[in-house]
Amino acid sequence: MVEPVVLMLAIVVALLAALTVFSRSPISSAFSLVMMMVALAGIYGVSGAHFIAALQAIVYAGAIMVLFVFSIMLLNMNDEHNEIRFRSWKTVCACLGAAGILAGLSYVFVQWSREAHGPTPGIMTLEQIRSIGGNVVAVSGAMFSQAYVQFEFISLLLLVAIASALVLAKRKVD
Amino acid sequence: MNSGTLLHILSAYLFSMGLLALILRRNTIVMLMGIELMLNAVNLSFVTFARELSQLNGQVQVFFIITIAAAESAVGLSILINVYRNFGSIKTDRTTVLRS
Repeated sequence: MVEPVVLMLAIVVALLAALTVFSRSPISSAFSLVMMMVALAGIYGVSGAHFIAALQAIVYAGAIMVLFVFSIMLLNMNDEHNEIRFRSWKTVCACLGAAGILAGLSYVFVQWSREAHGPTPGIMTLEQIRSIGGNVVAVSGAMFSQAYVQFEFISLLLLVAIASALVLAKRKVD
Repeated sequence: MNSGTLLHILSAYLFSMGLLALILRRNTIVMLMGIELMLNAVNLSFVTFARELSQLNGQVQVFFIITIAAAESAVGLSILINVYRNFGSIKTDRTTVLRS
């Protein structure tokens, strides 16, 4: 049985994703992507991943999309038209390939859901999360106990990304 | 069909939509948005698997994926600004010369 909230949010996400791909100007696809990410944060919140929902709203819909909108405005693309040629055979082939990938992945997921999957012994069960004091406490505990090496490497990667973005985007002085 | 199956199918749909944006569009910013769509599809799949299996590994991985997506979009957009500075356009059919 599908929860009605999940169904509504899923329909919104699907429509906004299609708008992102097929809309005419890049600024409207950027804004539909922002709204899609907010709706996806709602889905995460309903699924019980509260920390990920907050992170999705802050980092994706906040930081990354502001970066996108800012660079769209910086590049000043005013000669925009939708460049998808709907009648060309390349478009038809791409749509067929994407539909094939969608069908294959959906088949695998539906087959996986048909098998019985109870709560498997992972890091933590839902009852344990509730007794600890919520999703955020549980996720941060797991992050800093079992995944702390990855966490340190991620901080190193962010440092490298900052440095490389600076080097790439700075104007050459000569 | 339960909510988990619906969310799995939604994540497959988001992945194929991102792939379509990557293949069909000529505008590089929209292609980067397609990559973000695909990363979001994988995130949704991770969270749904974590919910179905009632464990936390998936959510921890989603945290790392979001960080990598932020780094990727920062580097990608600065490369884009460089491309625009050199070619005057960011359409992929105009930027055909690697070295002049």
